[in-house]
Amino acid sequence: MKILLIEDEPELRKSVKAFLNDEGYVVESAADFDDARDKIGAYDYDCVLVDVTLPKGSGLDIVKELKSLQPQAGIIIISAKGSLEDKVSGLELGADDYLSKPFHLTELNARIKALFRRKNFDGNEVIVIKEIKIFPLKRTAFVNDQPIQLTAKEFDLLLYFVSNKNRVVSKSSVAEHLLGDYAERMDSFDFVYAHIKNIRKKIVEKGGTDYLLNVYGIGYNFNVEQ
Amino acid sequence: MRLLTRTSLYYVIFSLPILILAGCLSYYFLTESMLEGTDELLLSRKENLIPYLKDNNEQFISFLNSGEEEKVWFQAGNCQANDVFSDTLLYSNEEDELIPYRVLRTSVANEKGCYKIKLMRSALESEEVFLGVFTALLILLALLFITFLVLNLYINKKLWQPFYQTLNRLENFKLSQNVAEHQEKVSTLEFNLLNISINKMMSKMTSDYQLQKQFTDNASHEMQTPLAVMQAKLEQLMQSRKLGEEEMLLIHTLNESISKLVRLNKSLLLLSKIENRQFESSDIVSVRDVMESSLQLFQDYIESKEIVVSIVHSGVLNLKMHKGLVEVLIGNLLQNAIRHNLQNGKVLIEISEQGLSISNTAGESSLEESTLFERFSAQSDHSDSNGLGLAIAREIAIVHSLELVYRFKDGLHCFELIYSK
Repeated sequence: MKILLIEDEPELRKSVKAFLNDEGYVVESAADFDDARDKIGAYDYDCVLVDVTLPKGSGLDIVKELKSLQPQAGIIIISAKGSLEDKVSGLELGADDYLSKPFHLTELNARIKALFRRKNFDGNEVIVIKEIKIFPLKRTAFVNDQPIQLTAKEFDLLLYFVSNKNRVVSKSSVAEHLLGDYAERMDSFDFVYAHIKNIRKKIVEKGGTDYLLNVYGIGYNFNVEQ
Repeated sequence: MRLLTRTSLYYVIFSLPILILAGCLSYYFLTESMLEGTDELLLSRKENLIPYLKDNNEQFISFLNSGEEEKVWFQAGNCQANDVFSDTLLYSNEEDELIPYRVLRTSVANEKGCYKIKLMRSALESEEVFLGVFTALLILLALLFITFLVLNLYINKKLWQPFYQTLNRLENFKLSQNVAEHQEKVSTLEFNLLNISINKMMSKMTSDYQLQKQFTDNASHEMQTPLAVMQAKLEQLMQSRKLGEEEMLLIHTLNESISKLVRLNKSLLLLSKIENRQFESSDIVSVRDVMESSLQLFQDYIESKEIVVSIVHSGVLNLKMHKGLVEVLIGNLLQNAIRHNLQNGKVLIEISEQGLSISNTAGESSLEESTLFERFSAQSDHSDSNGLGLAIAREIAIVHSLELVYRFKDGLHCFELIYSK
């Protein structure tokens, strides 16, 4: 999987690149508009992450060009302008997803995976992790081939953890994943905790292993390496 | 009381004593000169009598005495030929009342002796004069009053017009609406000066406000990137396997603070964008749809608090504004109602054509209304709240000519969004 990251802030570029490399992606990066245009003209990408405000041009123009040059590439817009404005225009131009800055790397990772799933499988994708099987588009999950009944939020949460397996996922990123901008004011951590308790219970009930580790109060790790 | 009504009233009040004084003076001078006239008249009548009396014209004397106003009688002895004037009251049959008379007593000497003369003249006229003067003054007062009224109207319309225009402009002045349009030059010096000062003040205020807004906007914007870098680095650090519990807890605290800062910054940015009217409002958004999706979003939370939500649709409410803003507006109000609710509490939602109301159970006392919608005025002890949710909701309402009010009634905290076409 090849990803192009178009972002002008070098430190952010470094972090995103490192995080995505760890996931096994090949990541190339572009620092400005011209650089980005050269790269999308020369190479094919599976996914392009575009910052809207770029030196020498707008990321939205890159999106337009990408749509004609590489219609198969998934596009995720990253914008510092706030979630309400560029979202609509970006998605109208043909971007697949939208993420507003600052974002959690684990959230970006989950979005990229969801994008690949939508692009590459026709609803038949299955994520298999040991005894757990998840059908993301059908929104069903099985443990030892027995279906488990998860609520919509529990399913989202499980998928989020699985997308970031073997990673430390912070509590705040989990809360934001579920509640968006409302995460903060909702005493959200208790609420996240309640969901996680349910997920664990439902997996263990069907004879599954509880892979979800608490990491010193900071967050969780869906760890299948041990 | 209007300024002009007040001045006219003062004019009338102060002209009253002047008029009374003028009346007294004119009465005094008029009666004086009339008295003089009467006296002269009596004297000249006396002069007319003298030749007859000197001749001892008996026939004439008896003719004289037949009248009321002249009496002549003979008196032997010395004659003191001096004129004495006096006033008296006599009963008049015609008028059936006492009438004032001016009396001249004098005497005329001839060779036989002395004729005493008493001449009288009715002073009735001076009373009539008094009445006349009084009436004239009353009419004058009435005329003055009417003149003031008419003048008032005229002045009001013409002279004070620029002043009322200025007043109107001040009343309608809104900092956020950026309408510091200058008023035309007027012909009255004072009003012109006033307008110039006001124009100066308004432009200063507007530009200060703009600068302040720009500053918030720029500051929030510039903070986004460093915050994004901080958050990303911290997340990277979290993935490290070399960290012990102590380091992880430090990272946790840092992460919490940064997350808080990130959301605060997002809220401020949103607020300044709403104020700057950066959201085109061309969408027609169904409040019902947005309410349902918001309830969906908070469903788990509602369940965990065991809150009973009842929703009444007594009409269809569509708002013409950016869909994202409607989501934020309803989301913030709903979140507020859920978050501050009690365990096993209630949320009542009513959507009608006139607006939307969201009531919830919570503490027994009313919230401080004056600061409720202010920024950073979190009234509860929820330390994780940044106190911007309601400020944002109200700003959205204001920009879209909606009214957002808070009421505390029957133990329910009610936020009402009033929509008027």
